[in-house]
Amino acid sequence: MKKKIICIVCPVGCEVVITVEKGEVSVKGNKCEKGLKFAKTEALNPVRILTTTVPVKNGEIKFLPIKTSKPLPRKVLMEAMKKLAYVEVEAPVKTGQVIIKDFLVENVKVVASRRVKRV
Amino acid sequence: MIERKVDLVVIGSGPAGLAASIKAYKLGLTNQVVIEREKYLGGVLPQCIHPGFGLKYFKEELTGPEFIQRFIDKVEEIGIGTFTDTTALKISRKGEVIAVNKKLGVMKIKSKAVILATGAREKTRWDVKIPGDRPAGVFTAGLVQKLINIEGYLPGKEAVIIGSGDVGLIMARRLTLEGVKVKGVIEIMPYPGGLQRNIVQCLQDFNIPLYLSHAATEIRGRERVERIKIVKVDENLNPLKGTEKEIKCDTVIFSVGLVPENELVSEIGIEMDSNTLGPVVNDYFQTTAPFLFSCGNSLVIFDLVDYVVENAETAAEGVNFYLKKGMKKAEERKVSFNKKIKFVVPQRVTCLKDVSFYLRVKKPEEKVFLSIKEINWRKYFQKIKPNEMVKVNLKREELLKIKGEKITFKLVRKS
Amino acid sequence: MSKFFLKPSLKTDVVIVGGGVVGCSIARELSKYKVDVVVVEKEVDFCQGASKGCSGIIHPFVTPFNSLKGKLCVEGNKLMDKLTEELDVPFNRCGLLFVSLNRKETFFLFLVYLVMKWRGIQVKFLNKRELRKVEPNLTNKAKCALLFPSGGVISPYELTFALIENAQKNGVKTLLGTKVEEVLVENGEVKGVKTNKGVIETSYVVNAAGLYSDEVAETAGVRNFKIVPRKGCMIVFDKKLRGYYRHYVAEAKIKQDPRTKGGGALLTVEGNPLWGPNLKETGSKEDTSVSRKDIEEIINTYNVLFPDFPLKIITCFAGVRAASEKGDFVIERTKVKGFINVAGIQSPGLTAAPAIAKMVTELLRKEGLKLERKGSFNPYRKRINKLTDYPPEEQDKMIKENPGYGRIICRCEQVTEAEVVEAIKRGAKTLDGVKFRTRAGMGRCQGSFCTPKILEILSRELKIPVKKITKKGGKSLILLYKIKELLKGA
Repeated sequence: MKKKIICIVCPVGCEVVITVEKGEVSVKGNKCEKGLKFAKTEALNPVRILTTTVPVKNGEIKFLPIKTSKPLPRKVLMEAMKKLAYVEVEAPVKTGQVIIKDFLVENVKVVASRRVKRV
Repeated sequence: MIERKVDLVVIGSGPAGLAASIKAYKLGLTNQVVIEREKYLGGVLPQCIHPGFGLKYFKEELTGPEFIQRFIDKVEEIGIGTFTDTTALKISRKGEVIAVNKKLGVMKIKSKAVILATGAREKTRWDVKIPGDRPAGVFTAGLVQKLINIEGYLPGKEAVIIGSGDVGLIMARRLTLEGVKVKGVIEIMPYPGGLQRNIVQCLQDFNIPLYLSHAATEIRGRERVERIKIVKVDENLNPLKGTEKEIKCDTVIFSVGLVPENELVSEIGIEMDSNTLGPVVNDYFQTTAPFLFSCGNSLVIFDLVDYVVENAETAAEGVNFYLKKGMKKAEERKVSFNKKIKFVVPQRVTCLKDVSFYLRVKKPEEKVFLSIKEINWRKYFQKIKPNEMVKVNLKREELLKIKGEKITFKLVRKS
Repeated sequence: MSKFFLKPSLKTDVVIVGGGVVGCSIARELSKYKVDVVVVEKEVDFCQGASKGCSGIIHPFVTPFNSLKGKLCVEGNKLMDKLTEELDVPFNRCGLLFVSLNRKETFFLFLVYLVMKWRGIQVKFLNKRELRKVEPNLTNKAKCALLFPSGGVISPYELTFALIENAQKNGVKTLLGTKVEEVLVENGEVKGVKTNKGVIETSYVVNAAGLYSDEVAETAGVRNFKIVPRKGCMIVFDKKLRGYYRHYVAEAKIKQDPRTKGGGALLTVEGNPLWGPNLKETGSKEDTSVSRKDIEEIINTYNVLFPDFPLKIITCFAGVRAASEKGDFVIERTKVKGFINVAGIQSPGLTAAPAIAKMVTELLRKEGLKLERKGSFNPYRKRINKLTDYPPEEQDKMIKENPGYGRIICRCEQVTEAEVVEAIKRGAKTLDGVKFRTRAGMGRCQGSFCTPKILEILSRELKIPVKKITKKGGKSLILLYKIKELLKGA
């Protein structure tokens, strides 16, 4: 199988060609190591960082932006969103504070992506 | 009425404003204030909850709130005076800033220098002349981003996005993730307006159709948006008969570009660049009013916050240089460019230091050389696109080789 | 309001159907007398129909001079200075320039000049040099012009809101969101009106229902005219161009469409250049859409006058003129006692409105309504105080007295929170209600920045959830869901 993809690791957006033969992945067109790694995962099991917001009680702001500490498999993103729709937090919150441990996948955490002071 | 005297006023607390403020502080300009019209610091970044920020500046991938939090923390740590929920109404020719605030009333701030970091506003449906009805349900992408991420509301259930700028693409994904059906992104040009990575991770990941070479022709709906009409266009952007199509939706979102906000300085009468719609500046980002400096999106629309921070820091160095040594105008060289280039910033060069030039091309080109005639400099590009800003670093030694008063950038095809 | 209607009925002397500039003018005129007046408007705010969608020109005259509209226009024009002073409404008698671009038109202008002199209408002839001096950006093809100094510009919605605010202060009651379904007539006499919210008992009904006046007349059984809706589109340009021209400028075209005076290039009282309107007969009373063709047509028409004008469009809009098929105003008593038609009020309806109000008052008197002057009538109304109209020292005082003046809500038009709150106190319930009273959202960003802030203030002041706020009433909701609602299966 041969596939042309755009590397999304950074804004340069290299065009990368992935070839999968007998379970072996070979990559052409990447300009960096990160791109090589990305292309390999993209060929087998594409993953993405997920970001969204959850309501925060008693905070200086009403919604806390959150993100997953590691990329999640692309195919579980919507399932993840549905789960997160029922999560609520309480201020104060620190940047990087863990909201959920082992979210859908082992070792993937949901963390706060900003600080929220309590009011 | 409160009167204050400071060395520097920074207007705007987005990445440009805060980066400039911190840098200026580090250079010794401690008597300064930052003015922000929103209730919180950070400008637009607190609402940009997606990742992709800071790859160049911090060498790691951050979300907007994480990126700006680092600057906010720094500002708070060193104790720079900030006024939030405060709007600058006027800047006089002598550098006096009039600002208003609920608690303090009118503030007259006399300052030796002003850094403008007022960001950008979004183009509207009328900037691209999309006619039809005027129902509820028509938004700009940045407004939707704020409504969702800060205020916690969804505009509707079925949306169509007009324009494939980055904010629009990001919102296509954001809306989809929150359960809104995005029925398509309409782009009049044959190529997307946003970064390629956003086409992949915001549209392709979610099977959102991208209609390239399509124009929106009409928005319809009496009270709330009911549908949008689109048509295919030829290479001259003229509609092709028989390709008309209607898409039912309750929401139309415009992502058709940003315009630098410079309303505050319109009365001062500084020289403006009709290509960038920002002020004309030298390589210290000093405008033609010597006390006034400009950076970030109010100078020129950047696509990476990393460049914004970089140029804001240079502006702060400029202020420091101006206040301590003064700058002579006569030494400046003018930047010009050929027809394939849309703009080059800065528009003037002092030749006192190394310079980073930021430029955009008008159309996508392949196999081209970007050259500077006067110094025999050139760089090859396999591909160059309008949606990706090009940055060129030149050393002072090279610039000093220029004999005349001009620096000419040219984009030419490889023969 | 709706609780009020749970009572079997409401009694009043006069019901005015329609809260446009005409209905509100009549209401304000009648508030000078000892009579009970109720204004009934089907929309959630005043000035939602033809009045909102007009350009704001105060005409010096219209032809034919002997027509009702011709007479009321000249009369209304004369009343405008006093009225706008009393109501504190900005009015700019900028003058109308009728420009000739060729020899034929010059000849035509001479004829017009003579007729105007004979009619006693103020007019001045400007030769090419004089014309250049007053309008330097006008095309150099311009040969000469007639200047009508009594021509002017006003904000139609500001005038309408001012009229109704002043009428309310003097005792007039108003019912918004209330649609007249039937005029109740017994033995050839008005007995009341039936609305969607209940019955109002009255002996006098003034039908100022604009586009729907024929339908209202029909329910009274006296429909002797037909409304022919005529759409007019207009383009509004950036305020930065305010100095480009000063007068209301139109070409002295010889072949005129008899259905319209052809529009012009004007400067709104707020300083935005406005071009139009054009004319479209769409057959629809509701269609206020603007098409690409309309935009091109308008630009082509006025580019002839200002060939180098930078076309920085802020917005386009359209209004539907409530013209009668007769072409003239229909203001008359009918065979139903107590029912007065005030219909077919197309241009120059805005100019004529104060004169129409006086005429209708007299018609009501003839119909038998007892009109006795009220000693307590207060003719004055103050406009919403705007922060940026004052110097910094005054601004500081304003903020100390009312901190809301210290928070700018709309950055393009520099509208403060205090101004938005005041607009809501004066009756704004929607995003458009705030916009048309304060200009918040009318600038170059078209509400991209201020919308969340205005939603928040509307929600707080009116004590309604953000999700219930509309753009202009009905189903024009701004935000349909709270975040996570769709994921949870809304």
